[in-house]
Amino acid sequence: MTSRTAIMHGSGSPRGRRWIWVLPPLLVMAAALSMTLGHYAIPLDELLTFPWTAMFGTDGLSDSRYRETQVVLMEIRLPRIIAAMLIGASLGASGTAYQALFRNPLVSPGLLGVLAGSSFGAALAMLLNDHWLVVQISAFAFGLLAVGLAVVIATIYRADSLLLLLLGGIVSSGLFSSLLSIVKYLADPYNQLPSIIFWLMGRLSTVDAGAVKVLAVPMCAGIAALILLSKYLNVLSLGDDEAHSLGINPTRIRIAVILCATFISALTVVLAGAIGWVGLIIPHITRLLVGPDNEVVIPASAALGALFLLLVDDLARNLFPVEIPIGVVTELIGIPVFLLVLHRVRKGWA
Amino acid sequence: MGMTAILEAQSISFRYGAKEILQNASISLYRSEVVCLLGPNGSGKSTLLKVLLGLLRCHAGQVLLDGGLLTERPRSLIAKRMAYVPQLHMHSFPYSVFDIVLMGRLPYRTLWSPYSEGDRLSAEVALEQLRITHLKDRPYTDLSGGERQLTLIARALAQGAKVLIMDEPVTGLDYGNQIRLLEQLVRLAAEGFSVLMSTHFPDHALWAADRVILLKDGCVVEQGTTQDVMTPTNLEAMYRVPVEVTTVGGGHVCCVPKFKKTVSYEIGRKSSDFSTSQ
Amino acid sequence: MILRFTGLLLCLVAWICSSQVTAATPTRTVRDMDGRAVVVPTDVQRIVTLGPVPVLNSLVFALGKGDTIMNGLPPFARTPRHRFQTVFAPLLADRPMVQGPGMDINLEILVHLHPDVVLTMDRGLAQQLERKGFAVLVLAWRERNDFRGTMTLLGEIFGSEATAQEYLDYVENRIGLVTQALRGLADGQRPKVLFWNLKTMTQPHRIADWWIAQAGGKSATDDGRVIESVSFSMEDVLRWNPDIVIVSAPNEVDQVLQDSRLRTVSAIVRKRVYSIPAGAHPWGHRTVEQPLTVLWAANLFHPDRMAHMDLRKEMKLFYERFFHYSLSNRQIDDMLNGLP
Repeated sequence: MTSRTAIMHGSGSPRGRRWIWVLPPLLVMAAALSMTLGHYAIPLDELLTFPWTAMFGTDGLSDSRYRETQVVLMEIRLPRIIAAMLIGASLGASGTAYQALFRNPLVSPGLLGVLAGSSFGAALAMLLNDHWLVVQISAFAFGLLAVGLAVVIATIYRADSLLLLLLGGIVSSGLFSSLLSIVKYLADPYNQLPSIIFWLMGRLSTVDAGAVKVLAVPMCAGIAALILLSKYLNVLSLGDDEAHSLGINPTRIRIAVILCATFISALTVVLAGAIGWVGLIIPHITRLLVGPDNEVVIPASAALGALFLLLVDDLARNLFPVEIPIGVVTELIGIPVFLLVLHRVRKGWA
Repeated sequence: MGMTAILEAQSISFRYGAKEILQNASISLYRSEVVCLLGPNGSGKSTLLKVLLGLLRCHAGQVLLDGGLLTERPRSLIAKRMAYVPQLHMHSFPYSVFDIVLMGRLPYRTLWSPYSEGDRLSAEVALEQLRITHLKDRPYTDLSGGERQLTLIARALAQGAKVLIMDEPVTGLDYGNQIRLLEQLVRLAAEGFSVLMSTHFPDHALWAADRVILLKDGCVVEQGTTQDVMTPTNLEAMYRVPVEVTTVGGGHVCCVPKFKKTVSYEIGRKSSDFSTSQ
Repeated sequence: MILRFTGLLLCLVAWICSSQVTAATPTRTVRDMDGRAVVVPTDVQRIVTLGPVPVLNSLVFALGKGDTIMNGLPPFARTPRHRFQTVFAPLLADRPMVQGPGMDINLEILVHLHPDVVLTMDRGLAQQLERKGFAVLVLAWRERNDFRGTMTLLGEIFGSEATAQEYLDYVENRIGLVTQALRGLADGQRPKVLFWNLKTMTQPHRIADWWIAQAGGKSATDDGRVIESVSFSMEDVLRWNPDIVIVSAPNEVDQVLQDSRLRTVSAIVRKRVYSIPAGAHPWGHRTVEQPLTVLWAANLFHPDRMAHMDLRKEMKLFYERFFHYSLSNRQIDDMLNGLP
């Protein structure tokens, strides 16, 4: 057994799969808990009676206080919580899909360049125009363009080669990272540059409720599509010839998976900037718990990713008086978690 | 063999870049038989199998499955008739044996339908047929070579395919497992399966095959019953090594190479005896 | 090979000669805001500003020495928001650009300009340029009293000590008048003010806490911090519930007024959201126009108490006296609107 398989070793038994049923209720509880946390202090009794008051009207609570509470809960915290869950789920699912597609556990959603491209698109828009809608559209468009470039590079040389796809992604990421550097260089160092850097670090603090409403459906659809494609991903990991002989078109499946995963990853950047590490470590943890079957791992990674990012965001915004950029927290937490995962796996090597 | 061929290749030629891999090859496969494809390295055995499976497209000639053109059949239909058992290779993910066999049911599913109870039942049946039910929950990557091959064959059975195309199925197996696998294939053929397997060893053809195809430099040199084809002359022309084909008591036949280093001892008699009797 | 060697030799000779030449001019030693002793010529005719160029330029304008600035504006300052730079010093438009994008300094052009003094706020840059033989002064405008030291220093090197003193007196006087007018102001009468950079969700300049307080307000972000900027979240804004919000740019006013999350905030309810005015530089930051900021803010927070001071008249006076420029009414409007 090679070291790579050792890394993937997990309980593929049905016992492991029962784990995932605990995730949805856990997610709901975490969301409810997150609603109570924040800088704007809401007394516990007001919090508990809020749903009641929302439905049946204020009762003894001053009108302005109620309205403020409503704004904090429904327009600041709730969109943020939903965004955190959507982003976590998208990154978890697309990370898993990429790792299955490339048969490589060290792959992340940014592999084919979507994160580099989106970051560049957003920065470019902030340099030239700065209207929030333009920034979001630009981020999305360039994210897709970057992946398109990677695929084109692979196809020009030889279609259906995973290695070439990977190299295409490296080229594309490199290109858009350099272009991003140029944008940063050209930006006004006193005004534009700080806001570009702020945007790129990944932050849920300025998540736009309107954007969440619009993007929730496509993101869920993308995740659902990946779940539907998961059984084909299993077969794809056996090798193209075997997959072919089992009645599927490997190229078509690959393109479909890349499209869906890229789509939702680009949307996460639009919502909250580039958040790393989630797409890399969540699939590992999920596989450790439930085994390698993608039909289980993809939905489980989505749920676990949502839970993880939600809790991380709670930490980021409540631990200190000043909010820590979420990209920093995911990295700081992600690295020891990853090491722990590796440690558990090391036992399998003995 | 008066019946129609289940799988037939008619004058297929395959080119990879400028290189001709297969030239004008014609073979047929019938019901309930084991056919061995023999050929030296680079003769095009793997390519031929892949063309037969529809994994590669030949530029001349055609492949017929159940009398109809392979290229005109939908992929999922082909998968329900023909199964591919590839050479053993490393898997990245430790799917359980059951998971691997269940994947054989993919041709019966669509994007929207998950695996059903019926699918799981088929997988169980396939495992039972090959007597590997006890391996059901073991990670595939933990198994021995022989067990892994049986898993892949079980998957082929779960596919519902009656035609098994196998690429060097015994390579990498130890001696005992090789024999046991060949016996398994013979058993399957008796149950109505058609098995086409490529191999490097003439012995496998002699033991298990009903018919043999000799492939050299992309051309079908000989095709016929084992008795007709497996002559020392043919084998020597094939491998350029002098051999002798001999029958041992009890109806067992084997191919013995005329190895350069000869022995004068008798197997069974103690070597110390020999020295004293000098 | 010979050619290269000769070229090098000539350069060496030229450098020695030039340094000899500068050694011949009369100099004096001054102490910059970083405590470094710097040798500068007694007669300063040519200066270069590096770093936050518009801010540094405005300091020089106020001493009436805008013509001594030898460098053109860097790319980030060539925007409509900085248009008054070339209004106050028309010669700037034709000067060569020393500072490129990303704080990139073109040393060759700098050498070509042979400035008598280089002004900057970056200590690292100062050390770097010093090694190349330039006389560099590090200015500071962080602490509340830095402006005194800076203006005095600049007055010294330009020989305009009188003007510098005049400016300081003016500042003293105007702030004194404001303090007088606000005398007896109870704590409860001070409006809570938030100075807000929307794009980075920060209050970017500690100086703002000071001028808000000076003008009779209470800065929402004043927590005695030492760092320059503080970041906060939407929830913090709701928690603070400011009475007045001041944003960095005119287009942000509408953005704030239309953000549904802020609809319960006092400042938004009463539509008391304003853009910081901008002259040679946006007034909210460290700038020589700071006294005007205090006047404007006091007018905003306590119009009744400040009724006797005409802001527009003050602006006209200030710019005429120190910038030697007569502002039209249109220009005053533009400045007060934040120079869209």
